[in-house]
Amino acid sequence: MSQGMHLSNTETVPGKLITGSFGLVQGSTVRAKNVFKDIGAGFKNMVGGELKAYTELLQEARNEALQRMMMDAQSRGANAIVNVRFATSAVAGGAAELFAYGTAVTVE
Amino acid sequence: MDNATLYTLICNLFFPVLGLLIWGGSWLFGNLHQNKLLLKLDTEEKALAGTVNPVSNLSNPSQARQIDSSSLVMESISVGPSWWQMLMGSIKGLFGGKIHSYDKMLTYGRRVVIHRLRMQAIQSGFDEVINLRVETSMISKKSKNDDKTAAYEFTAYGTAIRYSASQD
Repeated sequence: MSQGMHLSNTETVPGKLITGSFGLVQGSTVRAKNVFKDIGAGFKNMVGGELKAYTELLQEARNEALQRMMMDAQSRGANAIVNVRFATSAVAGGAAELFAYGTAVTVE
Repeated sequence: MDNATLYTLICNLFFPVLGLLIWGGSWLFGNLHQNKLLLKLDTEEKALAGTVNPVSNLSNPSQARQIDSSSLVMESISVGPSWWQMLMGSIKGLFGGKIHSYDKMLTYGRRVVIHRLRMQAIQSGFDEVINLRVETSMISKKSKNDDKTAAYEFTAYGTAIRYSASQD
């Protein structure tokens, strides 16, 4: 996942020394649900439990937000992102925005 | 009874019977399915009971040892209550108070996501996961009232750490 970029949601990269800071980096993506998956999930909702179609969709979307954040950091010349946070919000009926942000730094 | 009265009888009973089947089926199969899921999670958690629990929300590593590598780990799951539970919840919502029917799947989702993160950390050979965060979001609420879908998403993420083997 991290392809040479160190990611952590703590204030430092454990075991490494931070040598420079490049400010806030972020990545976001908006995903809408597929109509057919929606119908399938609606029926799955009859018994409740895990809705696998949504789980996969959101994992995919979160990975993309993470990738975009990492590209942002890479373009600034950073090699690590610390204090990574995720946020999800429903922007419209049936669509969700996934947002990842953190501070780009260089570690030795 | 002639055919015409039988026909009107069937027509009048069709929707009540259908409704009864749907809600009854949702109650019966929902309970069976959810109890199966909870039992599975219980046995999986019990299987790990003896081992050290490496997941915490401390912001620093618990051991003062040399750290070999670290990485962001995350897991997510979407769960939904059954139609029956939603019906019970909305009825209870009129009067206020505790809504037990939603509890089951919400606690399940949170437990399972932490369990999966723990499994992921163990399987990829990490020693512990620090700074765990669990987030909840509601992902499918349409403005339309007739939408039968409701889902909650739980995301757990943290920093996984592997201590170097040389120092002990």
